[in-house]
Amino acid sequence: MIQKKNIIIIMHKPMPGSIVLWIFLIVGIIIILVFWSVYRKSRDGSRHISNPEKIRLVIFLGIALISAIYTIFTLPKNPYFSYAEKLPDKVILVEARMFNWNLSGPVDDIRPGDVVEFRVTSSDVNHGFGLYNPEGIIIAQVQAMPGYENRLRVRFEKPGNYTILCMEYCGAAHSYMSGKISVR
Amino acid sequence: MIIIIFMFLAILTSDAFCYTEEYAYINKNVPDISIDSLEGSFRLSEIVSKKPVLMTFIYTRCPQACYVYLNRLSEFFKKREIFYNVAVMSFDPRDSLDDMGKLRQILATNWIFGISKDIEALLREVGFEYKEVDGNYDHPFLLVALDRDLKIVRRVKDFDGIEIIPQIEKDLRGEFTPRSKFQKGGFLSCFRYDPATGDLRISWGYLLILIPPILTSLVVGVISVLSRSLHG
Amino acid sequence: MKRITALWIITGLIIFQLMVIFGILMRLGQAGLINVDPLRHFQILTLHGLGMVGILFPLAMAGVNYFLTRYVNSPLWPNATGYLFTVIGIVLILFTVFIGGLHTGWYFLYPLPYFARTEQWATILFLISIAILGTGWFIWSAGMLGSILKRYPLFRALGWHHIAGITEPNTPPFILILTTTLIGVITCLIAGVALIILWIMEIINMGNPGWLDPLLMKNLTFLFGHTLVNEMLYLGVASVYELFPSFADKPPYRTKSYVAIAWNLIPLVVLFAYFHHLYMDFVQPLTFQFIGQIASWIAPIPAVAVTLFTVLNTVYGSRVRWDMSVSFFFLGILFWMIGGVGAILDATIANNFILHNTLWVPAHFHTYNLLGNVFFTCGYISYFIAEGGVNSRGMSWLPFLISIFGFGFILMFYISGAYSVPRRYNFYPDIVSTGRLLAGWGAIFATFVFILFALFSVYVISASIKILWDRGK
Repeated sequence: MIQKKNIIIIMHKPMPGSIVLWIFLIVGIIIILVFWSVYRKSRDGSRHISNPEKIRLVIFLGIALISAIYTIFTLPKNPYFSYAEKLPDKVILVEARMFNWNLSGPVDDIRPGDVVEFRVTSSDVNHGFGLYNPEGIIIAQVQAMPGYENRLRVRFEKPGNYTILCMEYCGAAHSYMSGKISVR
Repeated sequence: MIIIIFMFLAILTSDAFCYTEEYAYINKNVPDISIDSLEGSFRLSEIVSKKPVLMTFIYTRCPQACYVYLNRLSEFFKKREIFYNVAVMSFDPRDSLDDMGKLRQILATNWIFGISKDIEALLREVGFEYKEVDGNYDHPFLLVALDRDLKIVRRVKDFDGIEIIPQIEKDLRGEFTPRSKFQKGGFLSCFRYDPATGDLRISWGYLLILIPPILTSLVVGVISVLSRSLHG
Repeated sequence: MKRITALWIITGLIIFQLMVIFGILMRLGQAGLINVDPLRHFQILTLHGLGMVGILFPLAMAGVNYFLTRYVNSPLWPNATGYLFTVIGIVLILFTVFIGGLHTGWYFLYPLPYFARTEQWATILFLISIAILGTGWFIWSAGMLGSILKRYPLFRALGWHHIAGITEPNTPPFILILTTTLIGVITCLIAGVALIILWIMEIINMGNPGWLDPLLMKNLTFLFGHTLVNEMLYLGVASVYELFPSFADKPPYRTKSYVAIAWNLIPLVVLFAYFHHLYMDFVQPLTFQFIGQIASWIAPIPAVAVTLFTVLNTVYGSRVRWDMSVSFFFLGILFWMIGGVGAILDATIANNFILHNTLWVPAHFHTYNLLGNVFFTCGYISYFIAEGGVNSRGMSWLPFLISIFGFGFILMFYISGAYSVPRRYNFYPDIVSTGRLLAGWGAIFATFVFILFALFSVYVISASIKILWDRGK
């Protein structure tokens, strides 16, 4: 029952993914409750909203405001600028090919706290470079596209074995395409 | 008609994927060879400890190509602010310091011109291969960027490599650019490489994603006119 | 028109059920409960994706085509052409997948088909079958658009006079939404044409493969694919506008200026939303990435403020006859909204960094395809057979039960996604072994969904055959 243990570990840790999941569940439940209460009031034909256009405007402005705030807060948190201001501690070159990750660079020589720049490309089809922490949670990813080099900077916080999985479907052995980076 | 347009575009484009043989060399350390230059003898580590080095390999008896290459290189550097050393090394054991002195006079630059008895060891590490053909050498043009720890930062090849220098400079400074491209820009490609800044600029290929909306307006217009006229 | 709609319903539901079975097989394989060869798994994956969109899109079209008869001379022969081309296209896809071994996923992302273990002819035949589907749908969309424009001039069909403040003559909301959606559909079909032409050129150019720009191809692929499935949903929404007032014994909706603005804006914004598929391609220009996030967030605002509120306002405090049709529509809108929440969370660059191509993606699109779009379709199907004289008042529990099990099925996807289980895997390695357990539960829920849909299908198909037969006499 490794799987169950895994779920419990993750549930208790504030992983970015679980934050998104909670937001989703809470908003989803609110929507369901709204629909449920409207459904409850749909049988007798007795009530009606006196000023629907005003409420509509309020809803419109409210949602627009929430969206704007969320966008303003999340837009700068993108991987295109992360750790851009300083020299990376290590540079690792990643060449994806069916069905291998060819890593060159100090793969086994990363210390906790290091900022590592990954230069990711592919020599055949599109692949996805997905970096999993030792708990099995993705911490960063970038696409590997033939003809292009995508660069990604990641800060390794904890020691341990990090796994690379393929995040873009690339053929029959897509699920078996993995690599390893150790931080110690 | 659309097919003809696309065919026409196809003729204008012919790119081949150029995969990164460079990746096998980056991050590798090069041997700390001793260099005899016009300024005196020193070890390679002594120069790189002051400034990073951009190194290229030529031979002075070269009938033409090396000179063309070096000229292009010096032309390119004239427009740029240089924070690193440029080293021109001879890979030909017959070359002497006098030959290199003559070369410097021709080029009139303040680069480092050097020879080394250990050059073969360095050439092996940077993947420089050459063969002799009738007393001349058949060889690639290589530009190798070394950082202060004698590590290869970039390794680019041939005349196109000169254009990538702005990007190499960024890599030497550790400046983060989330993207770069290996392919040369064709007509249908999304990006054009800008040699002045080392950045990628949007190119004609992206315009292709505007074709569907434009064609749609046309189609809707035609349907509108047709259906009205049939009605009337 | 009744007969061809009945024919669509029968064919559509059978193919849909078949694709559901394939989906369950994949989940079982991922759970490790059955042993599926990887190649076979990805063939099924390809088929499931293509087959679902390949049948659900025309099924939605058939619905709006049927309701269009209320306003204009609804086109019959483009509908028949659409039917013929869809059936041929799907048969060809089945053929390429199972005999040609095609396993490139629906999106045949350049240059994957060259490297995949697929027969060369299968790739070509696949492109041909996509072209056939596209042609059929193009003719159909153009035909419908033509018949609308015959009665309503373009600016009136798009409700521009309402934006300018003129209220009469009123454009029915159904016509407005259908027109803008059809224009959107035509746009992505043209993008599909461009894609196929580029592919064919690449194949002709075999001596020098790889001259196409993979980034351009990816842009075109998602402009085509993402926009098409997005527009598919709006076809269902058009039926919602058409039918909902009658469910609540209220007069038909009238187009107001904000409705016109919203539905002119949505297809335009949706065109830019596909950029969110390329967030993790750092080579894509930064402006496009930001436009992608902003467009993805703008698109649902009018949907909530206009469509959702209108529907809730109609239902609130009125006397609704809760039969199967209205339940399907009501729950469909509910899950459309919930799926939308999942979608915009993923369309945020910071979240996409950890959710991109995890099972979160299938989670959100299953929410508004299985529980949104399919519910809208089932809603109009129930309405259609009710018009044919089959009462479904006592069956409103069916949509409700389907949504409970369906949501369970989908929740497994969401949880997997939040815990970084990647999508399009036939086997979950130990590092993401959570996915196995959740896939097993997903399969169990999906089996219930299948059984319930099978009940619905038997009920509906028998009624449809009656309609088909009655008119045939």
